[in-house]
Amino acid sequence: MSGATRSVTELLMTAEEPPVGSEGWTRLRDRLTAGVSDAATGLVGGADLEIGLRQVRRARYQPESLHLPDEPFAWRPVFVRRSLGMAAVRACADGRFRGPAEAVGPLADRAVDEWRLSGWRTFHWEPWLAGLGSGGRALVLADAVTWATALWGALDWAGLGATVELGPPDDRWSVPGPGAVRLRGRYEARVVRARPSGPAHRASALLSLSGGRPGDGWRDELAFLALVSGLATPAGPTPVRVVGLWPEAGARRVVDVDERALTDAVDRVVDTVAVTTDVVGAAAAGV
Amino acid sequence: MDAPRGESRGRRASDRDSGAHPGVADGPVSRIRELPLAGAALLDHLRVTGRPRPAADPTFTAELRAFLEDGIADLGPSAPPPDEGRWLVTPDRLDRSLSCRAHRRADGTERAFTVPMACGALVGVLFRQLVTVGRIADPMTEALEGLSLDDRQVPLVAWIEGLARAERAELDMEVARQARGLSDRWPSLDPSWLPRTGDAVRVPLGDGTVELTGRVDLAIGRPAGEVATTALVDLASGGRRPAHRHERGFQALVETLRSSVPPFAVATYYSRTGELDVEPVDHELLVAAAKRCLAGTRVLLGEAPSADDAGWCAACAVQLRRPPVVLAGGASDPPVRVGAEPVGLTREEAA
Repeated sequence: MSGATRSVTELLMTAEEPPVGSEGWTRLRDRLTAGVSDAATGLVGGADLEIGLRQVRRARYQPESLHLPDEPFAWRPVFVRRSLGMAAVRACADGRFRGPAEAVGPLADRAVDEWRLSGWRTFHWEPWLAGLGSGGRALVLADAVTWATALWGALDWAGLGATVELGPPDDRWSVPGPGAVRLRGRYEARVVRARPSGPAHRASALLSLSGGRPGDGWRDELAFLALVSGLATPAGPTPVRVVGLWPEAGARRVVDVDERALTDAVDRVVDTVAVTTDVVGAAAAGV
Repeated sequence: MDAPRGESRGRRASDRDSGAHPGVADGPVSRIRELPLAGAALLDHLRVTGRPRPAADPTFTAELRAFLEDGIADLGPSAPPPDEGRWLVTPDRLDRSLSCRAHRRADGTERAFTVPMACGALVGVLFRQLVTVGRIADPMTEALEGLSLDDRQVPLVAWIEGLARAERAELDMEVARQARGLSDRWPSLDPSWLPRTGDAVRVPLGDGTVELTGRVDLAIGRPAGEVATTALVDLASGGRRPAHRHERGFQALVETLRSSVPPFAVATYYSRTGELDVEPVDHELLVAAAKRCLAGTRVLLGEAPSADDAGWCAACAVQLRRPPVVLAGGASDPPVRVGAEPVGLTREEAA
């Protein structure tokens, strides 16, 4: 086990920040609801707004991009690499393959075969991948291998044991009020541990992988994941630490989750809604 | 700022003896095999460098970073950063910024598409395919399929599809020939070595306005550890050029800065000939790469190229050159440093 993988694993396994209590979560929920309600007042036609990490980052670093019309969706390798890569890491962690390079091909073939037999899409991209030639398929698999290797190589799997959930479903929470603003949190792994006071007080540490490099708002961005997790599953394990990895830049950042960090994340969400509302509103008005 | 401590150990004896100029020294460090290797022998050539694998050295890595960051700290960019608020430093841009006057492209623009460039992109896609799925069946069709999925390559794909018949036939034939060579020589890589292709690397410097960036064609080994376990391979579809050595140094540098652990080897695989140039990574290589990177980055940020920089010109390095020498001028003249004159030229001839 290398020092780097040990330290990431230890960060996930040793999070001890006392969780924010129920009163603290109530304050956070109230602050978020009031702030979003104000910020979303100008949303054109009460349009739906889903705020994920991508929107939070765009609003801060590239607000001008928010007014660009969404391109018609078309499958690309970048949309496959996370889901296929995550399946590969999961299969490697189960001991079925020696590394992502061995896993992605059989997993992709199996998904396509199952879709052909039953029509069931585990990943949604099965028909697209099935329609690619061998050269296109190989490129998609190659991207997934590279993505998966960054995650697989970052952790000491023996040290994590059975406590890690890989690629859990996204956390979702709708902000109460007249607008239709939803929060969505997505992270790559969650480590859940029982706290000394018993299973009713389970704590979790989240691991997030991002492309590029951390921006100056990385602290709020990692705390955002904890915020959505805590709001979406109040009876679930309380997030106490978020570890962010930016493999391209070799960067690692850690946020211990306390009420202040979550409050900053709430304010960042409100800023995101406000900026989005302004930009979209200005575009609609032809400004 | 002093250079990191690898500098103080002096140049290798082989470099001194060869008379090669800094940064493009030839010699036994770059182990060149004239006969194409295949299978296990190819891998052994990559993995067994004959030197102990370097250990992680956080202090040295910090010194490298400080050397680069301090070296650009005094520069205010002469123009707004061109890449979404950043200056992206790539091997190609370093080559251009450090070209001597004779080899500098007049317009300073990116390279235009050529058949060799297209061949390189197509063979690069096929290399990824071979490493990932272990086979290539229909080289040109598969390479174009792969290339077409990369948004950045759309203009190149359009250019290839618009080629005249004769040029297209030439390209098809060369791609097929190189694909056959790849298939014949490259063995399948053990998945436990974590082979990965097209790995993007970016290293922000200082406040992040300057970013060293690259893409590794093939990496093998766990990304970070106590001891270097990673080897990086760059694929080249053309002939061997001195610029490839600069590229290897750059890849080693950015990987070291990214992971805090150097790769144990950086290599260039020549798909046209099947040759593999492997360089073990040590402090000297990293220091030379850092010095060249700093010189080129300063020029990219607007500083006028200095006479010293001419020694880094990759195009000049195809000829044997003397190391830079300081020639004493007249009593009132400052010393003149000449680093780019071909062997045998007097100072007057060089001027």
